[in-house]
Amino acid sequence: MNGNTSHEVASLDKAGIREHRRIMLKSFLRNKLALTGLIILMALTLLAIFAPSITPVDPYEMEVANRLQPPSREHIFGTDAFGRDVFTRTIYGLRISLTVGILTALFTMVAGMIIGLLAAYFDFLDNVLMRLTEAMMSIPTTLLAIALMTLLGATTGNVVLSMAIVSTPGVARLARSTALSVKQALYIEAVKSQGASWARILFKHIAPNILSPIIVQTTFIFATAIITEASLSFIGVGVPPPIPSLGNILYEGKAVIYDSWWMVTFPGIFMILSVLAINILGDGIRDLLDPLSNR
Amino acid sequence: MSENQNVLLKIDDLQTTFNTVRGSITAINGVSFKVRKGEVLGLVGESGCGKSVTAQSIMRLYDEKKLVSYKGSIQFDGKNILKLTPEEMEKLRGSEIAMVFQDSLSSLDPLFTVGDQIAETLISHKKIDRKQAWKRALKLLELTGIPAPEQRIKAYPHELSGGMRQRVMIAMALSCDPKLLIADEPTTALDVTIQAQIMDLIVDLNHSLGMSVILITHDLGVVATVCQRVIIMYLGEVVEEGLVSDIFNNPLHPYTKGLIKSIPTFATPKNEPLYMIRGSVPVLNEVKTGCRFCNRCEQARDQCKIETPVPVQVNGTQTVRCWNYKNKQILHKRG
Amino acid sequence: MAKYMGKRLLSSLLTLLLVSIIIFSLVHLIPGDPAAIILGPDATVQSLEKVRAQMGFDKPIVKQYMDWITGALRGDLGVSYYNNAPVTPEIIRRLAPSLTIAVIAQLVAILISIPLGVVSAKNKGCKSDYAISVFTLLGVSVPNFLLSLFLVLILGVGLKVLPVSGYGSLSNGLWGYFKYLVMPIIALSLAQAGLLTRMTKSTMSDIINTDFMKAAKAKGLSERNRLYKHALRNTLSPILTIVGQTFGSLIAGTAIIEIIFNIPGIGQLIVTSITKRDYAQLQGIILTVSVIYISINLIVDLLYGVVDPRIKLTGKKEGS
Repeated sequence: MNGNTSHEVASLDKAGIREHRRIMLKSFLRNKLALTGLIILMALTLLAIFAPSITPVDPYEMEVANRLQPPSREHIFGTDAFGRDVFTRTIYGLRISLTVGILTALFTMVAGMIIGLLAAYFDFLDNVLMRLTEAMMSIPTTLLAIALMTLLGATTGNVVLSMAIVSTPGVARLARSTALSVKQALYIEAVKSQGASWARILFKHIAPNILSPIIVQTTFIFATAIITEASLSFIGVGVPPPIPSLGNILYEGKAVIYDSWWMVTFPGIFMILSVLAINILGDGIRDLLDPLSNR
Repeated sequence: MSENQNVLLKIDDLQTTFNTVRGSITAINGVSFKVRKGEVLGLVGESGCGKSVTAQSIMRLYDEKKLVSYKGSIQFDGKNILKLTPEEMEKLRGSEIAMVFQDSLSSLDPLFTVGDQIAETLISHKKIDRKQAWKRALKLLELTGIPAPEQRIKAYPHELSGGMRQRVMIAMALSCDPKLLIADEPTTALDVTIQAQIMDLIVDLNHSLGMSVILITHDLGVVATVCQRVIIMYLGEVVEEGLVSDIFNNPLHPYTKGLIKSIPTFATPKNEPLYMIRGSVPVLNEVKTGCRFCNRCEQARDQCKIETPVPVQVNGTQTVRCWNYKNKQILHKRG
Repeated sequence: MAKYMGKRLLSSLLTLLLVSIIIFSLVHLIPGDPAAIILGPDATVQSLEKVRAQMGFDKPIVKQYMDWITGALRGDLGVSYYNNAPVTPEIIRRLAPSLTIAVIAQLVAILISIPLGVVSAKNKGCKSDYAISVFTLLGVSVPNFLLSLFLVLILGVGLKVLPVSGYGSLSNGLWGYFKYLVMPIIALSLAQAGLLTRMTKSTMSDIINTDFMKAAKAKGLSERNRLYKHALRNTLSPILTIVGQTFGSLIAGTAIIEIIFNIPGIGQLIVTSITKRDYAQLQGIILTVSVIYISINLIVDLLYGVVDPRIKLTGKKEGS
């Protein structure tokens, strides 16, 4: 019976995993809100990718005679202070904002995971890394990002770098605490006693098991990055003009808000839609991967 | 019959169904039994057999708005518990029926003192003021044998040991003189010596107060020393019911027989492997028609696979749900 | 208990030290000669050297740091590169409006969130829960400066109910002072309320499903009693911690909003420091804000120690 049992258990396991995945997918698809978020995000992404095809003019092209025109048939979102088409700039701005956001999220995820895993595994690193992350998290994130941008200089790449540096401590701590609890699991002891190297244990065994909360967190960092980039550009230390980003269009719009409401309203709506979609999606992913959390 | 005047709690065909993400799960399916005044009834079974679900169904502790639905009847002191309003239930809980849980640390609010938590039951049910409630709480702590109760009453739950906390839980349960105490594995989480003390306490209280006790446990040894009657549950159903002496000397249901046989005694030969009931408990929603124990039963017949057995009374004190005993008086007709 | 407080205090001081090192390093890694910034492009070599010696730029970097940090401990954050005025008084002057807005916004957010969170947790899955969820979702998805811009458009320009810029003084009466703060506070508190409501709901839902809540029901305690005496008390402690942790983002948010509403606070000071490349002022501002943030978290943790009896015994917070 014992021999049969282990065989039974193994095949039950595979079937159990398949069943589990099927149930997860089903419940995600049933979550209409999360699906809505996903669809909106995909629509926005498509808009961003196909920006050149759907916009009538070049985002840098100025028609000074036409500056600060309200929405019309020719310029459906109006024009800005340099006579540039706001619709075109908004779509290109969406492209930049989404790109910056997703790159930040990805860099943060990778860096945070590596740091967190190392801290969880090596005690001597743990203390140092945790002190460092705590110190970094004691400086309000936007202010630290501002300081970093001032240091690095305003380029789009630096915006990604600054925001990634600022968000990594949070993910690192999450990765570390999750990894610590996984490390306690008995099967890690078993693998260790088989003589696996630390790298193998960390990246092959522990890492896959901490992915769920990290992915949820990364999704929300995507949303936050879009907002932070906009805040940075709003102060003037973000994406450098004339490159359009949702943030710096708002920055220019702030100066003329009393007479030209269109410069603030349309990019604003696109920004809200993006962040909203990502947040809804993040909630859906969290419900999926961590159904025990009582949202 | 005069027997009915002696009955405190009568459960008839109780069914508890949970609505979960995976669909509806009927955790207990047609449970029926009686509890008499002043008796200690043991409720025995493996993990997952539905003992706790039964207990919590009697107290209607589950969230009825979305999670759970009940069928059948629970007669207590002339009322059907399943038909009471939420306000009537609140009056009943803690004062006429009380419950003691397995994990005393997680069952107490960490932010309030022990005295506070005993007193609030009294204040809520007896409408006395705080000072009086604390005085009574102190007396209750003395009753349950806590050393230095004047200091302990001001302690927070995490400041007490497991055994002391369990005495506190019992004090809380007794505070309004309940007619029935449901003890859900009260000593499973405790050391063996403390276990004995707590069990002694429960027996003492049963004798001195005349309070009925439903003792839920998976430990047959405890049942043998403490209970008068026993109910054996398997996978959401009652499979056998009888006096303690019946169950141990003359077990009827194959599952009960297996349980008794599995207990190692001094008579068990040392070099032989311990007896195990073959197979393992199936997942609840895999169960189909027929007897639920069929695939593990050493006395299974063809009928067992097709038809679910009904409980039959085999003698004056024993009832069993098994096709091997179908030629006696049938107790309940299942629809 | 004293052990816990002592440990926390020491930990905060260490963190503060690290923060000061980080800020100082960042600012001093900025390329460019500070002396050249101060004197402008037409400076002669001699005057550049003179300024360098005067301001101590020629000293090794570690010494510069030590000078700065020891000065900071006495309250002296150095002098501005721009106008040679001491940095500290200017920062303190600017703190008042910013902190006022941040603190009031936080209080408003708490007052909104706790009731909403409780209702949401209690009625999970019902219509009221969905309505509140929509509100919180919008709260966390609309950036506060965007909300400010819309508020300005609608309330300021459109309806002309509130002033869109400037900052009053209390001598103009309570409304004369507050009317400038209404829109900033609304903008800030809504985002914070969205976040806090979600956390309250989540924490409270977790608490409602615990064993001691079940045991409380088994004792026959009324639903009101269970919810407001037991569940709420247990929820408030974790929420308090979160309030402390998110205060930093509230201060940062204030900084940005001040620019929209033309309020003479920390935010404006940051922007001018950057444009004028007045790095002495910049590092002073960031250090000050960090000190405030760390202090608030320290106070919250100490309060937690008073409120939660488990700390007194073990000296450790639950889950840490």
